[in-house]
Amino acid sequence: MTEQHPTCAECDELFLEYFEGDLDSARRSMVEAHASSCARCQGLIRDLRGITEAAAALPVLEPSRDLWKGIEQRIEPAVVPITFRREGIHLSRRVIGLAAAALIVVSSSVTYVATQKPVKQPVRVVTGPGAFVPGASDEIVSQPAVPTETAPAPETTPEVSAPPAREVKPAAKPRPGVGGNAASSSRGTALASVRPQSAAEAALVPEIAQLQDVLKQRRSQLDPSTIKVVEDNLALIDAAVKQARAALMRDPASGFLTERLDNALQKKVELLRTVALLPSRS
Amino acid sequence: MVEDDSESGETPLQKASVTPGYGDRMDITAALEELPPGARQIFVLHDIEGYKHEEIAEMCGITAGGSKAQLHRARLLLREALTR
Repeated sequence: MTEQHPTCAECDELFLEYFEGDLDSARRSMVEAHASSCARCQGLIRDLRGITEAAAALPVLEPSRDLWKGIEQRIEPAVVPITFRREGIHLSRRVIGLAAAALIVVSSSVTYVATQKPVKQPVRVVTGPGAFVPGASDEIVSQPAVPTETAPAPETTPEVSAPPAREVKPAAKPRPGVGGNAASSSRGTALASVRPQSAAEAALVPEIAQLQDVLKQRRSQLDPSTIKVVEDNLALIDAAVKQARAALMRDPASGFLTERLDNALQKKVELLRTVALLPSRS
Repeated sequence: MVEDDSESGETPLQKASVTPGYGDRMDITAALEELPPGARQIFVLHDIEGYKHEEIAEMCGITAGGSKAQLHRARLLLREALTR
C-alpha cells in the first residue's frame, strides 16, 4: 500500500474502520481519494451507507404474531390481590360446605331407601271358625309381631295383640282340604287382609292419582293414536301392578315382590309424567 | 474520476444502489433472513436497534472488535443479496 494511492484490496481492509469512524484523518482521506477515482469502491461505500441508513429507518423488529405477550404471561405470574384471594377461599369453603351437606343428604336418602323395609301395617285378619288365610292351606297364619284383629267369635280369642309366634287354638284351625278361597268367604267367614305398603308405594299412589287427573284433562288435547298407545301401556303396567299386589297378599314380607311393585308403580308415574308434558296436537 | 462503463453513465453497483434509499423495507427484511445468525444478530442490534459495539459485545459475550467485524460482514452480505 502506498500512502497516497491505495489499491482496492487495501481499501477493503480499511472499510471496516472507515465505516466505524476509527480511521485517523490521514487514512480516511486516503480511502476517500481512492474511492473518488474508483467506481467499485465508490459504489461500495455508497451501498453500505445506503444499507446502514435503510436499516436505521426500519422499525425495531418484533415477533410476527406478538409472541411476547404470551411469553410474558407465562413468565410473570398474575398478581392477585390478597383480598380477592381471601374472598376466593371463603367462597370455596362455602361451596365445599354446601357440597358436603348435599352429600350427606343424598347418602342419607340413599341409605334410607336402600334399607327401608316395607312398612308393616296392621294386618286385619278376621278369624273365626273355619277362617282361612289366602295361601295358607292348613293353618291360620298370623303375622308375628303384627297385631291382629279378630271378628266377634265366642269360640275363639277375640283379639290378640301381636304376641310373637302366637299359637292358634286348635279350634280355629281350618279343616284340611279347604284353602283360602272364595268358598271360605262364601261360608260366611270374612277375610279382609290389608297388605303392608312400602314407603315408595305410599308416595307413588297419590302421585299417580294426580297424574291421571292431568291425563283426563289433557285427553282432548292429545292425538287419539297417542291416547291409545298410552292406554295400552298403562294397561300393561296395571296388570303388572295387579299381579305384584296379588303376590304380596300371599307373601307380604317379600322384598322382591315389593320391589317389583314399586318398579311398576314408578314406571306408571314416569309414563304419566311424560304424557302430561306432551305437546298438544296441532 | 469514477469509471463509467455503462451506457447510462452508471456502474452496475450504482444501478443496484438505491441510495438515497437502498432498497425498500421488504428487500432488506428479506435479505436479513439470508444472513448467518451471528452476523444478522449483530446487524440488527447495531444498525436497527442502535446499540453500540461495547454493549453488543457485553450482551453477546464477544469483543467489540468482533462485533465490528461481524457488522461489516453482515453489511457486505446484505449488499450482495440486494444486488443479485
